[in-house]
Amino acid sequence: MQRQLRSRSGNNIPKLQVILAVLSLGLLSCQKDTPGISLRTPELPAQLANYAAPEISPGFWVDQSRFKVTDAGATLGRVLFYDKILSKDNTISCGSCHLQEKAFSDPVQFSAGIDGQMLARHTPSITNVYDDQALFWDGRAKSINDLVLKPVRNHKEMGLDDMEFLVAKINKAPYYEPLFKQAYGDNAINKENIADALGQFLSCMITGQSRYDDISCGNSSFTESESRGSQVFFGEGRCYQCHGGLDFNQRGGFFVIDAFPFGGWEPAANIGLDMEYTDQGMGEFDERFEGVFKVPSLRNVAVTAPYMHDGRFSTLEEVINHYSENIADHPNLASELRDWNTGGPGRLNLSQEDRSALISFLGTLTDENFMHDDKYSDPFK
Amino acid sequence: MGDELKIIMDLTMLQIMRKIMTIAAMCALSIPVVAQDTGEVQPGFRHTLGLNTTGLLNQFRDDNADDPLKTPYLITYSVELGKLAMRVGIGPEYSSETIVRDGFTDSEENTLLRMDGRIGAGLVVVNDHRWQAIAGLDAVTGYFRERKIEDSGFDRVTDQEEIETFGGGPFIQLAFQISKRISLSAESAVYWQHQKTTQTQLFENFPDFNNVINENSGSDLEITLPNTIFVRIHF
Repeated sequence: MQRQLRSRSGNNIPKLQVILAVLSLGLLSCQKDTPGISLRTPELPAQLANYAAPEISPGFWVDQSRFKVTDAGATLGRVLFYDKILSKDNTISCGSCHLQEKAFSDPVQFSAGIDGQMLARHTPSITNVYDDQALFWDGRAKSINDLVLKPVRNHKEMGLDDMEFLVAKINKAPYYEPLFKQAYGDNAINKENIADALGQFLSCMITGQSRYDDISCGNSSFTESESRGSQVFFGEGRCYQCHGGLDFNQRGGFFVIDAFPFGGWEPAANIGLDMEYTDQGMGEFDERFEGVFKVPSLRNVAVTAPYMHDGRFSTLEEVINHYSENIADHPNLASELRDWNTGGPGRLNLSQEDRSALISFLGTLTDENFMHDDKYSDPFK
Repeated sequence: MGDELKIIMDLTMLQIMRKIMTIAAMCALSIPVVAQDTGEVQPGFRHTLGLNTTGLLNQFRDDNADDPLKTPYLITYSVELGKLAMRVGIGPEYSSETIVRDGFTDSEENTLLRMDGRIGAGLVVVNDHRWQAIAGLDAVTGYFRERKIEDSGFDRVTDQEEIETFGGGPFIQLAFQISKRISLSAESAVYWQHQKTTQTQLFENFPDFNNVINENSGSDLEITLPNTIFVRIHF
């Protein structure tokens, strides 16, 4: 038992073994003085940043009727997003695992939550989610406001399950009072407004200024390799069947599975990663959907490695190799990935040139402005 | 340049002197032990001080090893009178580490305290000039505490786990006499132990939210294999 405890701590504690027990106890009595509160204050612009939904291009638009954001609300949400006091021991913020420079994903396979606990799934990118009705890899959150407090409450992620405690902590941080007042008026620090402000900030994470968007508007053009990759993507590769639409995840398009377990029409699929899934995905809620996961957006996909719900592929090349020749014949395999003639898993058998071209094309979906825009950055740095 | 050279020479001399003093101290300590080998052993009480070498060997092990051997009963004192033997043992361990981060969390303190003790009585069942075996019963107790304190400036959060144990059971000890004054021993035991575990979280600036995360207790049998070597000195 003691041995288990030591290894679980994960800390490499340099040992000082002492002979006398009395000396040990004496050392323990040397406690640090009670600290006051000396917080780092967020640095915000004198004038509120503009978080209005951008008008990007004819090929990409934001449904204004579903975009419920104010500048003051999003600004408050930005501070909450990066504030580590939202975790139980003040060590983890949302931004600890959702890095702006990685399109708000995490470059490690599994992020570490409080106490160094490893999470079970890869941290997905959170962009263009303002109207998403199936969030997380298993789609268990039906809206952003439903999503935002789940990681805060999760015992492995941020561990702050007691919402009264969350409100008490935010009340004690001096910089929040004016921010809440600005966004919601007086006496506004409560769980609902915390969720709403975080939701507003996430809603603003609109990425749609990539080279692909420029090309769509006729302001730029593909290179030869990108052009060939585009043909593979929309042609023989049939990638668009699941990754089509404005956000390259088929949202707003047709559904991928016949009956989404939550009754919605969001894209999700079993892509034949395994014959037996240790992580059931949506199968956790309904066994008919074993191995079914949300279809992720491909925007900024070049910077959001590793890939898949368990981060098993570290490069896009590995992802393409999977779709090209390694799809497992799982009973729930999406019909789009089956061969029309045999009914078995499809085999694209792409040439090396086509694989490289496809990767080049996917690179055009990177929105550098989004990843360096100050209005999304960490105000505590 | 001259001063630097002098400092280097002084340091070298210091190191040489330190080595000489260490060797001298070791010689001084070993003389009485060796010298006493030639003396007659007086009948009556035989006192023994045993040192568990596992803990010392662990100091030279890779600290990243996930399975540092437990170091129970670092020091054991025993006394024998004829066929009767009694012993007490204690095993303290303390470690502390402070990580100062250049970020929001100012520091993280990790401390670990382990204390175990035992008291036992037994019979000398084998006793010749080289080998000795003692069988008996031990009563054991232990306390373990691991504490992590995250000090962020905003709050000081303590995660603590405490384990208290007590129990007892039979043991058998086998010793090999190297000389009249020095022996090596190993032992095996089956202890029934009752254990109480408490995990707590303390928030210094938000004491209303302090809580006990987990509290449980139970009993089990723990079998100790003879993989620990004690170096013993008899006097």
